[in-house]
Order: sequence, then C-alpha cells, then structure tokens
Amino acid sequence: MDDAWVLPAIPVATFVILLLVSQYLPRKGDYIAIAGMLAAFALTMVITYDVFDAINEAGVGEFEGVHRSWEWIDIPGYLYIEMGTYVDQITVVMLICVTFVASMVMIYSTGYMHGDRRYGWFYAIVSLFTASMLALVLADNLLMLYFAWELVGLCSMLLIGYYNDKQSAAEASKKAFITTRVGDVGLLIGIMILFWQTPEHTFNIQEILHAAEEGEINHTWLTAAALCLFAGAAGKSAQFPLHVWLPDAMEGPTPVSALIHAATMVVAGVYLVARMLPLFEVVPDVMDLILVIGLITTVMAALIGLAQRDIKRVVAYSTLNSLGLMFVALGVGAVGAAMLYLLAHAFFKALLFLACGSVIHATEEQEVDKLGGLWGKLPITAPAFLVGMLAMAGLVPLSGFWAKDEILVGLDHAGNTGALWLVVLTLPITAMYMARVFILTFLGEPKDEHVHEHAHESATTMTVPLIILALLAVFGGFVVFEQVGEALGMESGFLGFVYNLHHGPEEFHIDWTLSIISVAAVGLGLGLGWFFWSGAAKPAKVAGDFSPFGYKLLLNRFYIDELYQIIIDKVVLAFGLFIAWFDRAVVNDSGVNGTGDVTNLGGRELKYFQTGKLPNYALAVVVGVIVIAIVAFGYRT
Amino acid sequence: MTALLLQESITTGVELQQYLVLSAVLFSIGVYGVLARRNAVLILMSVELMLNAVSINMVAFAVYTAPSMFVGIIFAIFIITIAAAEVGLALGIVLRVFRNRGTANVDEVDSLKW
Amino acid sequence: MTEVFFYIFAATVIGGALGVVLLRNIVHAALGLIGSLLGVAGIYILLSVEFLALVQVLIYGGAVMVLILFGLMLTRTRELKENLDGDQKPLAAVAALVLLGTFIAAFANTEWPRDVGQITTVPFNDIGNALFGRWAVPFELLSGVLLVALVGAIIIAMQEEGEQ
Repeated sequence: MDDAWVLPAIPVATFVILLLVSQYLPRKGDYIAIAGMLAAFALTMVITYDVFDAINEAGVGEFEGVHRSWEWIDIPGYLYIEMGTYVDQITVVMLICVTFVASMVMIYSTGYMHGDRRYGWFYAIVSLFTASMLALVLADNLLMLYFAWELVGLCSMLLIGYYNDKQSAAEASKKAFITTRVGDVGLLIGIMILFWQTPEHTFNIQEILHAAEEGEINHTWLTAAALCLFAGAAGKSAQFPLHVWLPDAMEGPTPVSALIHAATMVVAGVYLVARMLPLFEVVPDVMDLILVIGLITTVMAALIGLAQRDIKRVVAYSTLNSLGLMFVALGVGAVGAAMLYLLAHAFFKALLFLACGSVIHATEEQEVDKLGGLWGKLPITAPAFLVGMLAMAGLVPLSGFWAKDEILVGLDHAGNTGALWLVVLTLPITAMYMARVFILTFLGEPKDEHVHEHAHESATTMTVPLIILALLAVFGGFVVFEQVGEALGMESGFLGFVYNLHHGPEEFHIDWTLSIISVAAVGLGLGLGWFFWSGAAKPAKVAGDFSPFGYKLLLNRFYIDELYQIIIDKVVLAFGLFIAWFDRAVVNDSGVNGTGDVTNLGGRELKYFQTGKLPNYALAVVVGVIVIAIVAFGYRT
Repeated sequence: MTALLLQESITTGVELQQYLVLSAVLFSIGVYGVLARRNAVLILMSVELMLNAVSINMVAFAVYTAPSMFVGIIFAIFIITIAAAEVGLALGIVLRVFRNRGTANVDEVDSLKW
Repeated sequence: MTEVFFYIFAATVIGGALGVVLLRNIVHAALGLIGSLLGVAGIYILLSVEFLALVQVLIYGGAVMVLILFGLMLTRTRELKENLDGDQKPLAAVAALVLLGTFIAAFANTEWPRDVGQITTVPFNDIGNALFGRWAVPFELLSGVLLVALVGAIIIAMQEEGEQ
C-alpha cells in the first residue's frame, strides 16, 4: 500500500513508450499497454488484499487509511506542499473499477480498433487517461488531484476527438472540454478557498476534512468551497446543467465511451464528492443541492432516453441516469450505496458500451431504426447486452438491483420520502427505455436487409471481455452479502467496507417492502417496454402521435443544447463582440495606437528643439544651471 | 607646518566680497560671450574668461578664509595648466572643423540637427 | 591705496572682457583678452599671490594668447566684417544678467565663517613647498595630462592623407 504510486506510474511509462516508439513496434505496441494495465490491475488486487488485512487487523470501523507523502514544494516560512498517496476503502473501489475496466477496454480495442490509422496513439492516450484517473484517485492532496483532474479532461478531449477529421467529433471534443472546464474553474476556486481558509494552509485532503469537521473553517467560506467543489464534480460527472457534453462524447470510439462512462471520467466527480463527503456534511444545504441536482439529472435522463434513436446515445443517457442516482445517494450521505452502485455500474455500463460497440462493429450502423433482428446473428453480444440492460434496469438478482436497492434504503433511512418516490418513479422509465433499445436492436424484423445480412459476430478479443463483464454484471452485486465478503477476505460485506465516517458501517439487510416495490416497478417498466415496442411497435407510434410535442421535447433532449446555443449566440457572442470592439477601438486604436501616435507626433514636433547648433545647447545648459541655483538658493533660505 | 610661520595677516582695505563680485561679473561676461558669439575662437576666448573668473574666486577664498594648505592657490595653478591643455586641444578641433567644413562658425556646424 | 589699485585692475579685467565679447573686430577682441588676463594677474598680486601673477602672465599672456592668435590666423578665410554674433544674442544677455544676479544674491545672503577683511599673505616658499610636497602627485599627473593633451591636439589637427 505504501508503494501505491507505482500504480499510475505503470501506465505513464507505457504512455511514454508508446508515444515514442509505437511506430516501430509490431502491432504498434498494444501488448505493452495491455500488459501494463493488467500489471496495474494485479497490483490493485494486491493493494486490495493489503487493505483487507489492515481492516481485519484494525477492526471494522477503525481503519484510517494509509498515507504516504513526499516533500514537493518547500519555501521555508511561506509554503510547504507535500505530494503523496492516500489509500482507503473508497480508493480501493475506484482502483478496481479503473484498472479492471481499462484492462477490458484495452483487450476489446485490439479487435475494435484493429487497423486504425492511429492505433498506437489510441493506446498511448488510453494509458495516459487511465494513469491520470489513478493519480486522481490516489492523490492525498487537492493540488495533485486537480492536476490529475485536468489531465483526465485533456485525455477525454483527445479521445472524444479521436476521429478528428470528422467535424462532429472535433466539435464534441471541444464541447466536452469546455463544458467540463466550466466546472473545473469552480473546483480550482474551491481548492483555493480551502487552502486559504484552512488554518494550516494545506492542500492535504485529510487535514482539510479534519479542519472542516472541527469547525476551524469559516462556515460561509466552507459553503462557498463546497459549492465550488460540487460544481467541479457536476462538470466532470455530467450533472444537470453541465450534462450536455456526455451524450455528444459518443463521437469518440466506442471503447473510449465505455472507459469514460464506466471508469475513468464521469465517476471522478462521484469520487470527489465521496472523498470530500465529511466536508459536505458540515454544510447540509449543499448536501440538499447535491440531492436535488442528482434527482433532476436522473429524471431528465430517463425521460430523454425514451426517445433517442442512436443506440449509443440511449446508453449514454442511461449513464446520466445512473450518475444522478449516485449523487442522490451521496446527497443523503449514503456513501456505501453510492460506491456500490459505482462498482456495479462500472461493470454493467462497460458491458453495455462494449456490446454496443460490438453491434456497431458488426453492422457499422448505430441508428436503432436500421437495426433489428440481430439476436440470432450475434449469439454472444446479444445475451451480453441483455444482461447489461437488465442490470441497468435493476432486475433482481443482477448487480444493479442490489446497488439501487441500497440507494433506496439510504433514502429511506434519511427519511426523504419525496426523493425516494421520485427515484422509484424513474425505475420503470429506466427499465422501459432499456427494454426499448434492446427490442429495437435485437428483436423484431430486420429493418434494413443489407445491414442485417452483413452482420457477423465479433472476434474473440472482443467477446471475451463481454463475457467476463457479463458475469460480473450478474454476480458483482453479491459483494453486499457478508458471506461473500468473507469469502473474498473481508470480515464484512461491501457496506462494512465502505461506509460513512459519521454514521459508521451499516449492516446489510434487505428491506422487503422497498425491494418488492422496486422489482415491481422494474417489471412494470420492462412490460411496458415490451408492450410499446415489440413487433411493429404500433403502441409506441400511437403514443408518439398522441403527444407530438412531448415526443419532440424528449427527442430533442428538452432543448437544453439549443438553449445553451441560444445563450452562447446571444449573450456570450454578443458580449464577445462588445469585447472585440472594445479591444479594437479602445485598447488598440486609442490605447496602443494612441500612445504610438502621441509619441510620434511629439517626436515630430519636438525634434525642432534639436537644432544641432552649439550655442543653443550651451544656452540650455546655462538656463539649467540658473534654475538649479535658484531652486537650491530658495531651498536654503 | 613650518611654512605657516612665515605667513602674516594684513588688512588691505579690500574685502572678499569685492573680489567675488569681480569674479561673478567676469564669469557672467564669459557666459554671455559663449552664448552670443558664433566664431569658435571667440567662444574659446570667452571660456578663458570664465576660467579666470573661477581662478580669482578660488584664490580670493584661499587668501581670505582658508590660508592653510593653499588649496585654492594650488587649484588656480591647476586651472591655468588645464586651460593651456584645453586651448591646445580646442584649437586643434577648431582647425579640423575649419578644414572639413570651410567655416569656424559654430552655428553653421549643425549636422546633429533633426 | 590697495583699494585704488583694485579698482584699476578690476576695470582693466572687466573692460578687456567686455572687449572680448562685444568688439566687432576679432583681432581687437583678442587684444581685449590680453588686457583682461593681465588685469587678472594684477588682481593676483593684490591678493599677495605673486607667483600666480607670474604664471598668469607667462602662460596666459604668452602661450595661450599665441595659440589663440594662431587659431584666428588659420581660420580667417572670410571677410573681416563678418558678423561675429549669433542669433541668440538677446537671450544670452538675459541669461548672463540673471546668472550675475543669482551670484550676487548668493554672496549677499552668505554669512562668512570668519573676518573677511584681512588677507593672509602667501610667500613664494610656501607655495613651492606645498606644490612639491603635499601636492606633488597631482602636480605630476597634471604634467602627464598636459603631455597627452598636446599629443592629442597634434593628432587631431594633423593633415590626413587625401585631405585638402
């Protein structure tokens, strides 16, 4: 655990190697990246078991996390910054998600990206992406976290814009970068406020949390800092109103989408809030804001998901849906439930995306209008997608069910009935659109014969990760049981492993009422999905015709992108025009050119003082002497 | 120190201020000459007037107020010597200018103007 | 008695100086300068510094004046009636008068540290002892300066190849 810094160092090394020499290696050196990632995963497992042992030794609820740091900047008397790693339970969950999903994605990409022009570059950037995410998770101080955070943003931009000769991809990468940047500025301001307001002037996360809990930070500033941090988290995790970049991020290669959605990017915000939760809990208003934003995102994403045509977009909105749920859980302080959902989500969302990728790879088509009847054609992809979709919907006993159930229990414990019922209401919608995309893609009649005929199952390198992820999506949720936890080497289940520092570890127990309600809701959703879209999907068309406005609203994602576009066009660009005018007219013409003109004119006029005649200069000297003499004389008397 | 023993103080009926005024008038005339004249040799001559005014000043102060060490007198000697060197150099320059430009009038030598 | 001589010498000095700056004939102006310099020598005698008076006559009245007359001779190509004064003559007069006023105001407002009615005589011997005793090093340096200046003057004034 002390040497956790090796973990990000491995992918950084592969990044450097691939960047420099991938041109000259056979297969462009993808095996180096995969080997490095698998090594990182193995190391993660070692660290995980170290943590297990440490917890078992210290006793559940007593483990404090392992901290190791090095001197980074030392200006005696002014500034002392350490950099280091901090490993605790949240870190371990994140590490497993990141390294495992990254490994799967890399193996899968050998098939999906095969023969691509910039194959080596792809692996290099994916390595760096993973490395920055690992550094982000391991960072013990906010400054290092911020560096890693920005690196994640940079890599995501490079990968979303991977097909940079495509206009839409270039624009999507720009959109992702700028939208997340809006949040990042907040994060930076929040970090600076915390550094400034913490009595020790430190970036160290644990010290800041301690200071916040002890009330050593001014409450107003703490609220501001928490808001800023949450702005950063909302940007990275695509929460309303900064969610617009995530669906567009589909322009990147599908494995990248899997990586972004499941492991590396969007969960960074969840991680940040989970990590800083003790700080957020000191300001309950911000916790409520997190809850509300999470709810808005969940409901909105579920509704939009109903009407999208692009298979990847539907899955993307399901990610928004899930991320909203995680923030809902964090909003009531149920960090265990949030992390469990994050883990389960990593498995089934990676599965869904990789399956999507497999479909796209097989048919070269991603509009559901042109797919259909692929069940027989894709014997591994189709069941894998089915598993992912049911897990996403939250059907018992798949991993999504347990995780979602914990969130419901968390809401129940917090006594927030309104939020609880709102979440329960979204469950059938989620199930419905997941069922819809599955039915339209794999069942029914082929809508485009040409596409259907050419479809073929993908290569083994792509299907094996699908199978592994499908198994985990089915069984991953069982870690909540104490028996499973003990079998894995813990003395408790997942909730005893990751818990809220204030409330202590929670006992896992099944709340039968909630479980039955949620299963019923999911069943209802699946049934409605089957009713609306099976066969010729007549009921769906009827429903669409019944409310064309509602359909359009959903299809166009509540017009939020358009709203932003209008705001940018009318306000930002108008302001930009004003600034441009100001720059040209006032700064340039008056300020810069004006100074030049005045100097020029002055020189032109004053040059006549330079007569070149000796007597004139001598006269000037004498006048100067007289003036000095008079001044000195007057000064003396 | 033995030298000081030979000195004696006498009253001449002329006071220090009179010498100073003489020096000031001479200096001002020199300044006028430097500013008003245009022939380089005349300007040099006016500079000599100014130097002499300074010398008078020095010697008068030395004799009236600070007799020890003879600083003022030694200074006057130095000024005379430097003046000799200066005249030599300045006349060399004037000759040079005259040969190159055909004039010794300083207001016609104005290559440094705008 | 001394006072009378003072006024005579002062009149010589100032008259000669005015001649230098006012006369229209350049040779007359040079003669005025000689008069003025000799008057200064007389002032030195009144100040009991006979040595300086001798030096003044020898160097100024002799060497410097000869140099200046040579300069006049060598640079006189134009007509004698040429205007010797520049354009800024009135300004020069004003500046000189203001300067004079400043000086006089300064003298009038100064309190002297000791009685200024008496002079201390300076015998020849003392000057010699001081010059070659305490002030020997500056004196020798000065002779070096003089040498360098004369060499420089020769080089500057020397006719270069291809020069008319």
